[in-house]
Amino acid sequence: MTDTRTLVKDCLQGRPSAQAELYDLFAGQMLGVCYRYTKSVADAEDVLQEGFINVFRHLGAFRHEGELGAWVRRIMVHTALNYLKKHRRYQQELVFDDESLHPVAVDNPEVTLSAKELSDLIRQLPTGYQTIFNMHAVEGYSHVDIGRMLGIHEGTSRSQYARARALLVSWLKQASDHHKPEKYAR
Amino acid sequence: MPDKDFEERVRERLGELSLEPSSTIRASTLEAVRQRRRRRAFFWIPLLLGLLLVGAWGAWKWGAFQGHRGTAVAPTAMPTPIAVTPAPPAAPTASVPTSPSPAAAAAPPAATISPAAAPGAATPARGAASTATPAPGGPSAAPEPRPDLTLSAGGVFIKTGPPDMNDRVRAPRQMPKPKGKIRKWSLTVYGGAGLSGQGAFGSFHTPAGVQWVSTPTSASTGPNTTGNRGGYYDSLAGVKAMAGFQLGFLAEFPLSKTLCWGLGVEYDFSKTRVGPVVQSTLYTYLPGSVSYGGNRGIPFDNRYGLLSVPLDLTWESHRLWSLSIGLVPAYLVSVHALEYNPEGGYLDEKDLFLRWHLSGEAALSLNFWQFRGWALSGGPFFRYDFQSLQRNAPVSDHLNSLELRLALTRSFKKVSHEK
Repeated sequence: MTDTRTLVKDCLQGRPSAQAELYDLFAGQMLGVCYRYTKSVADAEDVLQEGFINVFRHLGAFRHEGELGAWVRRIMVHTALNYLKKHRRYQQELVFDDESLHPVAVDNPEVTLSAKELSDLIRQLPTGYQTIFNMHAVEGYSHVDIGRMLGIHEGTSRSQYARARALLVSWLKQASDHHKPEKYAR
Repeated sequence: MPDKDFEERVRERLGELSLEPSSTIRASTLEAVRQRRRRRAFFWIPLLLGLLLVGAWGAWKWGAFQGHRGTAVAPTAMPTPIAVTPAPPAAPTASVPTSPSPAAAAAPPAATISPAAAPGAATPARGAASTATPAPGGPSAAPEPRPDLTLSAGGVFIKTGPPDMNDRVRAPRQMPKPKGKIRKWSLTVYGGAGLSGQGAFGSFHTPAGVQWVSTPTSASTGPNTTGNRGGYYDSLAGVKAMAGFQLGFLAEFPLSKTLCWGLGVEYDFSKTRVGPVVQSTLYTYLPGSVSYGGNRGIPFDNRYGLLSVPLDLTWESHRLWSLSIGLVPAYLVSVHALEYNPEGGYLDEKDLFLRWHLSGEAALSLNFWQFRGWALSGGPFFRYDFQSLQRNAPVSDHLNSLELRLALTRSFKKVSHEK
């Protein structure tokens, strides 16, 4: 396997083999990321395609200061957020009410589900909750960053996250009791 | 902290998630990336062309303006100092340079006289640059009134009126002619971008050809040239033009008044697209796994980098344009390309390529701008490689380049005085 520096250099030179190698290296993992942010596999694949086009477009800006995988992942997340804002079916659900701060639940359930099952559970959250949960709990963005990226108040991000987390924890408990989670109803 | 534990567990678990994207998405993503690069070339080439056209138009207008200025006195906005040299009363001579020459500037103020202050001593000619001999004494020696001349504080006449037609005739005579032999040479830095193709003379797009070859499993067996019996029907993939560029510098020396020769160093990059070629033979030939079922594979971008030493002959018969032809020995310094091998399909093997090449080139150059020994020019450029890229190529396989070239030239002039 080619090392990252050579791979990036070859991609910048437009070598199809290098582009294919970079795609193959990250596509599976990145589809997982896109899957968590969207509601269908088709949408996830759309985000993946758009995201990789962005990756190749901005590859010249990658300075080898961090891991290439983390850089690609950041681009995927940004692409996913833009996708959600752009498409009507997500736009309607991507509403963040300026709610009062919701106390963070102290429940700390075991995560016995597989990665795919856990992703499916996160995808059942309303889009706003789903997005903020992914960004904070999985990607590790701070609420200040999330507020800036989504154009919402930091407090809104916190309260939305608290609600999302509480909901997910309750579903996880149900799942651990071998109950299927009920679909969240707004 | 329990919260942290939960988040970390979720993060760890989700980090394991990997899904397999469909092959359609893979193909379309990679194709979209290639298309984007192609679109970028299609954006830059017309932009460069447009800039060159605008530049040519500007140069044309500027040339016309300069032509007017070069032969006439400066327009009224630019005052022209006039110095009148003292002369004997019998034959005074008025010398009026059209521009402030060092001689005029060096003339002491006392030597500068006004036609009004010294009637009969000196008569400024009607033409600002002409000389005149007035009749001694008499009313005819009196200066003609010159409404276009005003006396400056330094005692110099400033011309403020419209340009005098006589000026344009006489002005060049005032220029001192350098004595000795003038040796001129110039250094040009240039760059160009455009299309590069691969094929016969002038070919930028080569359609797919056909050839009969022997069975794919026997790599040692040569092509079946006996006819249509047996063997596998294989297509030679088509070649399409892609972008190319050149960068270099050239030193030019005059041969005659209109001819000069030049020698330089240049780097040329050419890209062509071959294919679609069968993917299984894309990089390596694997006996037994090679598919000769036709070209249903993917396209491949060939890249060639050449370091050359162009030897040019330039004909400059007109101020605005020049023509160049040249011979270009070149060395293939880098190659990443697929070439057809009847025994192994399409291979990326550097040994298949000829390293030394000889090309011919022709260029038309339009002069856009000139200022104090600097000049900017540009125009179309064509190059053809006399040799095939590939050793024992089954088809005509010559590099063709059609580019727009932009050049910045610095002229140097050395006057060697004869003793």
